[in-house]
Amino acid sequence: MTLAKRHYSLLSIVSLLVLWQLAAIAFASPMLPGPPKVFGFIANELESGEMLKNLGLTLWRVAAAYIIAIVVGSAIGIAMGRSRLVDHVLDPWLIVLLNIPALVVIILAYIWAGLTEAAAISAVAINKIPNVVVTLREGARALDPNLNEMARAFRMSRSDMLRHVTLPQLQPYFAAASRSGLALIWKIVLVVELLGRSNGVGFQLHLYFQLFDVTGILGYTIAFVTTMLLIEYLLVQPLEQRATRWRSQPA
Amino acid sequence: MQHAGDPSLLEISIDDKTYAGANARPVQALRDLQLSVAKNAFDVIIGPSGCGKTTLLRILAGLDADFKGTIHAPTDQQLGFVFQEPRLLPWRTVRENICLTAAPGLDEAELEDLVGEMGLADVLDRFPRELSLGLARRVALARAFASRPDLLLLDEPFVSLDQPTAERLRRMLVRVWSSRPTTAVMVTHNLREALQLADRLIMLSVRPARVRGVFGISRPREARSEDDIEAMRREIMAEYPDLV
Repeated sequence: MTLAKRHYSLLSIVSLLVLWQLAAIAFASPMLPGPPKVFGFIANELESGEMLKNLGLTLWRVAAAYIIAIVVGSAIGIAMGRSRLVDHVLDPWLIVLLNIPALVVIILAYIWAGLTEAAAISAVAINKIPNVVVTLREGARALDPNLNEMARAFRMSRSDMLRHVTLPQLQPYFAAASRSGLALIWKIVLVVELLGRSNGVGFQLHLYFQLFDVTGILGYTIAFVTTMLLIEYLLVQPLEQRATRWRSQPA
Repeated sequence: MQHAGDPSLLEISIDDKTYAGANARPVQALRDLQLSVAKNAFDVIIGPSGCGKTTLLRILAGLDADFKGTIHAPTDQQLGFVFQEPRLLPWRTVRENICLTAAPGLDEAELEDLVGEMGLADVLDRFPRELSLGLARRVALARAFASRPDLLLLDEPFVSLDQPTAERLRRMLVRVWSSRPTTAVMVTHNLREALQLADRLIMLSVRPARVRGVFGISRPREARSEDDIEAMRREIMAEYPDLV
């Protein structure tokens, strides 16, 4: 990003805050608190440790569900992409799973497995797995047979082949699955927490909703979105850049 | 260089190789093809386009087991393969591409020798995407030699290069090959190239391919002049006017 572009982004954020403040003054209602009140709330909650605890719990659920979904989803996706038989057998299941509403999976998981941490995380993972499967199946189908043949001709070991030939080809598909995965998972995690957990950002939002405390709702929303953006910029993007540095063109 | 006394490394006898072509119609690529390749010889297989040369190489490489016949070869032989396209791993540097399939005992000095001979010293840290086709082909050649192959297979490794570049690569190939005793089987449809490189020319018929004739060249390749090659070319073309 150039300096000028950064300035515009900053300007855009500032004008959003100004608009928000003006609207708050105009309505003068507890249903729309202004930025100072909301940021004051965030500061208080951070100080008491309450917010960090809830953010931490939500993040842990996001991470656990994400890892399970990526591992299980890619294993199934790659198997379906490489074998017609597996694809034929599992495809109807996949279509059913893709079309079950997230809410149904969550409710059934809680009914069948109880209001437990495991049920919550599995429910989120199950919601995400079909998307990972579809993406990685596409990736496995697009593997270059020429490179595969090269590896076989040189008698490359299976582990070398996986590491140097197969996985790098799947990398863009992993990246796509991860990216859409995180976005989907953190939204579903909040619903799961709202329905069956007694902590986490989703639970807090539910609590403030029952109290009609808009300051609390906006405060947690901002804290959560900020956390997710930090993860995106500090973790996801640098990792992706590292993985795709070979794509850069000569200067 | 002739290696007449060397025992044969490969005994090839393919009765039938048929594959499913367009519309699943069976296409017979090879029929009754017999050939033996001597150890440390440089054999060049030549024949018309689409006659099954690449199919034959893939069978020799063990990449295609779906044929009727037998191939006798040492079981644990290391293979080097130079494909028509360079087939480098785009996400690995030139050095990694060469080292990944290199022989376990290949040390840094040996690698440097090879890389120097192929003129690749300056591009070791680049990614394949940054290389011209000629350079990428050289990397593919270096990779094949770095695996210290008992059998080196080359599938038209110089097509779609301009004449001077192809010529330069051929000379590099001869130099690198001469200092590393290796059995080589190359496929081409360029007769001059074949006459420049080969100890022995193996001429294939149109599909289904079988061996039409063998043309041994006793003069060492360093001593073959343009005129020699032209004379041999005429001789072969007189006998096999529809060879390529």
